[in-house]
Amino acid sequence: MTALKEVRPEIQAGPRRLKVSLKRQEAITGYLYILPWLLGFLAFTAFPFLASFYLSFTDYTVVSQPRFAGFANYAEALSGDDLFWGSLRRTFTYAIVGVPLGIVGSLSCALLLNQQLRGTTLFRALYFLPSLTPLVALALLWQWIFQPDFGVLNFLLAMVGIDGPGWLSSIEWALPSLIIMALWTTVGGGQMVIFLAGLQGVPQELYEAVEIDGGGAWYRFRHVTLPMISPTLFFNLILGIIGALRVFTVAYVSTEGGPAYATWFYILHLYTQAFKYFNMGYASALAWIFFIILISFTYLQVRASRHWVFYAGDTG
Amino acid sequence: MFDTRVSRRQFMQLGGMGLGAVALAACVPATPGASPLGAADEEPVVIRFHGRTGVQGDHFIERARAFEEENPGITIKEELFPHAEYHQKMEVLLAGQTMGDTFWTVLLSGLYHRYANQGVLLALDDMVAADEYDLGVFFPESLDAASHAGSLYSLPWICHPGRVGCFYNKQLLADNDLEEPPEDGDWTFENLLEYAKVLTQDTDGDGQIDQFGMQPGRDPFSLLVWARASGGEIYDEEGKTSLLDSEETLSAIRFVYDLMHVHNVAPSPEQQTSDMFVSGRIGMVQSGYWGQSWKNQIGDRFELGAAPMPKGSTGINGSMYEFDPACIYSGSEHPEEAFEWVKWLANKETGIRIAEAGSVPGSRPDVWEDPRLTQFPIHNVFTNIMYNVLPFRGPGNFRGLEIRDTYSNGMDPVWLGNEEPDNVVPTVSAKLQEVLDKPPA
Repeated sequence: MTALKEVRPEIQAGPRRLKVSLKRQEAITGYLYILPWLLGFLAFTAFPFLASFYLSFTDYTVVSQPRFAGFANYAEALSGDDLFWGSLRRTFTYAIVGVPLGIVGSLSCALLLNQQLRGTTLFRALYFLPSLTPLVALALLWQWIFQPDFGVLNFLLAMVGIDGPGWLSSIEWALPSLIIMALWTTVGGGQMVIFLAGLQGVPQELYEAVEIDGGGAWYRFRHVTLPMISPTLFFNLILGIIGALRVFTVAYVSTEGGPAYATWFYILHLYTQAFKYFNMGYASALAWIFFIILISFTYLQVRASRHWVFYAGDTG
Repeated sequence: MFDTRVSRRQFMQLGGMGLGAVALAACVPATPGASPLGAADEEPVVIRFHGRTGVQGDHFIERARAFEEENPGITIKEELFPHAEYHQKMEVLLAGQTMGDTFWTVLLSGLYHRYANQGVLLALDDMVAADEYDLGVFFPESLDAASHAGSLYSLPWICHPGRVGCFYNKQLLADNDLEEPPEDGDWTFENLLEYAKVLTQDTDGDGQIDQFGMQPGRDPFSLLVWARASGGEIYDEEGKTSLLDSEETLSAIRFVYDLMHVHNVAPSPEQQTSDMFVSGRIGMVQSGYWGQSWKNQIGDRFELGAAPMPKGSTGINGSMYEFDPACIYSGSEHPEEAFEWVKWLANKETGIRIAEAGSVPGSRPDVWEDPRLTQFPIHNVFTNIMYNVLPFRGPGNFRGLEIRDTYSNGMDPVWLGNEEPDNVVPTVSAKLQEVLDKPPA
């Protein structure tokens, strides 16, 4: 036996192993852990993403095979589809009105809840509750609140002598109604919690310094709070705008885009083309146009943020 | 000799080989007729069927079990989906080439004829001929509507004559000394207006209308009933030209508009709620055969009556034949068995049972005339209409859903009272024409 080992030393050493460094082993383990997610991402996000880009250049109605159509879908959207520009304008109106109101409302709530008063925790929970309501349930609930004849809103307005409008069934009031509906969840929801976290991170010594200098409440807010929470504000603004531009569910459930296209938003238009009319090629083009709009808009916001967002740790 | 040790690596290798062998064995197709017991013990053919959940879904399940008892060699596998996402589901199944053998679809959306045009549906002519199946049992309008380019693509399952019913609150009519509208439909738009005026009331004296006389439907198929009674149409026979702005159709639109905004006897969309009729706040309402199901919500508050919608200037009652088809997927591997199931759905007993379940009857006169249904007076009102029903018309390019959205949003300003019909209808008609001018969906 000893002689054999001497002749063939690999027998003693056992099967030959590939030398793998610890760092590489850890990397392989890490990749194996994320593999399920990675496969899911590739199959359900990356592939559809790329497929939709290809389909946007085709005439594809699901049942038939895609036929290459060049830029026809893009041309149709930009120049031939009456609802394209209208739905885009409506969506931006919704965002331009709804996002600032949501930001101001949620920041106001966060400032109130940051006062360390008695019962703050309870109010924080109460304000947060609406944001936990599923959007479909929210839409159905507000349909009753907005009901012209016996809805609670018109009942309250009637008590102060105002004859309330038809809200969701009115061409003029349908869009504002959806903005009000959205505010109900955003003012006390995630935005408020993020603002609250930002406010609690503002160093107290800055407030004390202002007090010593004789600065009032507005001065404290304007020159301490606002600059210090500007990264939070920026974050909420970006997410708020993206969320508002993607508005769909409340309109789909409450108004189906009506009356007279008053709430026919861009994503509703896209959804209708894809899953109601089955114009998948055209809907893919709409999706890519929207993607470009969102990316451009976000890029502009990031560029503009250099002038108004203050990062405490930024030495540049 | 039993001291052979198996390392973990070897165990995994052996295990993997074993699993691979099992998987390969499972992939080998079964040899037809391999069973030594013969045909009697062969596995039944499974026919997949897609339909809607709810009353119809329950009906399909009940009929499937009855079918299987009669046909032990065939098993029906129901795959039912909610109405709201039914057609999206169909498209996904088609895209993934996993469509079932048989399925239900609808006429008004244009999908039925679109599927026929795109080769999704199996033409049944050869099977009908080989089976010597008697198509004469159906309403002739069924076969016209079920055909596309000269071929028959389904057997009619259920049918009705459209939104032709004027349902009324018998109690309110009696309280206001109004006779019930004639069951034969021999009354006019003007008669209906008189009724509506009497029934419209401010019951609590606060200056607001609490009870309306009439609620007309606002969808294009409801309008069609008024339009056809006036000699109008929404589009021409081939479904290529919009006729919404023709004088006849426009006169019908004006009449419905006047009910809401001139005579104030019908609630505008802003005043309307879904439960107004069943809660006794409207005297009459336009609906289809399914309106009978209001009985369940009304309970003993009042008795429900129905008459045909009135005659217009042409002297006829408006209507449009509609049916729900039972189709066979062209990619089915078991078309003969699928045809047996489709025939079962189109038979007399199925046609009666679906009406008894709360939907509409089968597309056969012998169903509509069966004593199990004729015992219901409102059913008989619709039966009379069925014998004079006007034919189905759909958009020639099968874009029914686009037409409906264009019409509904376009006509909203009219029904809301923001615009007069004459100002809006030509524009809406032009928009409909744009949709009709598109290539087939």
